[in-house]
Amino acid sequence: MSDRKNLNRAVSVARGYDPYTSEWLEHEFESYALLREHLPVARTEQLAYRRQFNGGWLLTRYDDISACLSDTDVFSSQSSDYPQRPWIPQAIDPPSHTAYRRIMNKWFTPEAMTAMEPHLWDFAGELLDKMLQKDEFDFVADFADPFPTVIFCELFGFPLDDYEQLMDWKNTLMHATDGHSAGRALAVAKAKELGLQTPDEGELPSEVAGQVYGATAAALYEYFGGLLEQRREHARNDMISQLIASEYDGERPLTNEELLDTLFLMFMAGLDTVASAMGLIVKTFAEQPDKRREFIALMDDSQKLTLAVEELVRTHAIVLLPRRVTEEKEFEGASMHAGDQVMCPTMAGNRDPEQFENPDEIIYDRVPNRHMGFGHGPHRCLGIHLARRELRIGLQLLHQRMPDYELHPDKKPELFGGMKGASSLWLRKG
Amino acid sequence: MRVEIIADKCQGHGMCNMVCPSVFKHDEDGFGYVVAELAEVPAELQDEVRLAEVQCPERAIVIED
Repeated sequence: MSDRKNLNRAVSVARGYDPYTSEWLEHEFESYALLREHLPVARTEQLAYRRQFNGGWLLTRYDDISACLSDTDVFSSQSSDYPQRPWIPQAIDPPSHTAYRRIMNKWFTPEAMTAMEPHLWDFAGELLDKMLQKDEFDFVADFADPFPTVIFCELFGFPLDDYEQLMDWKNTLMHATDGHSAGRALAVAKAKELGLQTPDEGELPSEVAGQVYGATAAALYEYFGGLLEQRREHARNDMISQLIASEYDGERPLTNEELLDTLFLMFMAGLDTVASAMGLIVKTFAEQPDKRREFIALMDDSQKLTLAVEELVRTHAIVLLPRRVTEEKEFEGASMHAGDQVMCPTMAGNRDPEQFENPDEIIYDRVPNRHMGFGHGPHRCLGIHLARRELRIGLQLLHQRMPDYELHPDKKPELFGGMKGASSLWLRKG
Repeated sequence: MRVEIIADKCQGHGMCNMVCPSVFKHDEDGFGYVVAELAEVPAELQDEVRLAEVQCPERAIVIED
């Protein structure tokens, strides 16, 4: 196709860009590649409309995304509307961000996470024992979801008796309109409870989704408020108690609002991410047995496994990072205005051929591999050292116990867009 | 070979610590530092240190040969 037509196609893809749908996933990498080549700083309309911004931009080159995520003065993280207040620390810019992160970074150091490894092995083994009693199973429901989620609940001190309720809240908040059928069903039920009209099929109207979102967030804030009250009376060995005992910049305790906004963010960021990456990686392994065998052959070599996990995170990056422009900015020739939104899809940066040779290929010993699967700049994933260990241990143990498997012939995987992932992944032992 | 971490650039991804844990550690705030006695890198650790340099997502590691 001529360059002119490709440019026109790129303009059209950018115009309708809406990664918060499962349809987008059917052609996302081709679309990002088209944009990267022909329109690397693209104007978008659909996304801005959905998020109520003046205008939107979409970046697809590694260097551009890296520059945007590193320049926190011009590209603010306080980028969309929040149910109550901006989340801490994700939606806060330096220098306050630095002060909040300093409180939490020390809980998530590599050393602290290494100390958890024996427990991660035990718990992964327990879940796999149960799952592998069956010949076919939903890997997401039986392993990818509960493994990181239960570990997260234990760390923070969310009661495990509330697991189902927490998952329902998470799915309602994050997956009402992205192709996740359980998330949609929960959102519809909540909408009915609120006396709102909902369509039988298709996407929930954004005003309905917005009200459902607000009501669910309010319920979660109330729940967290209760936990904070309990821990103030009886501190325990968990992160809720540690957070209460923490000081902002060594000057003052965190306010109740700060505590709530932090717990809300931890909940949103901690419950879905490893589960999503793990589900997508195992889906790839079910579809590409050669890549799975290659992984199994190297996984007992610790250094090779380290590089392999990074390469899997690069090729299965799930995170979309929106930023808000704070001042007039000339960016790679584009005139950005204050208030514009800029979308940085890490999955697009991670497949830039200028940075990664044969970017669509999984090359387990890829070096260099400066991927942005865990984000980039000051907001890089707080739980990175835990996430790596969960992926490493989960994938290693899974394949020790079950080297051969395939997708279930009748039950197709269900994928959701946005911070993408698999909501169900039925497998059959090989 | 000498190795150093540029503090302004490091965001604490921890890749260096994953591939070369003897030379690269993390401070309390989660940022990387080079163990002082190993800043002049012994021959047997030089391959790992080079690997850490090219894997660092923030390009915060500098090697002087």
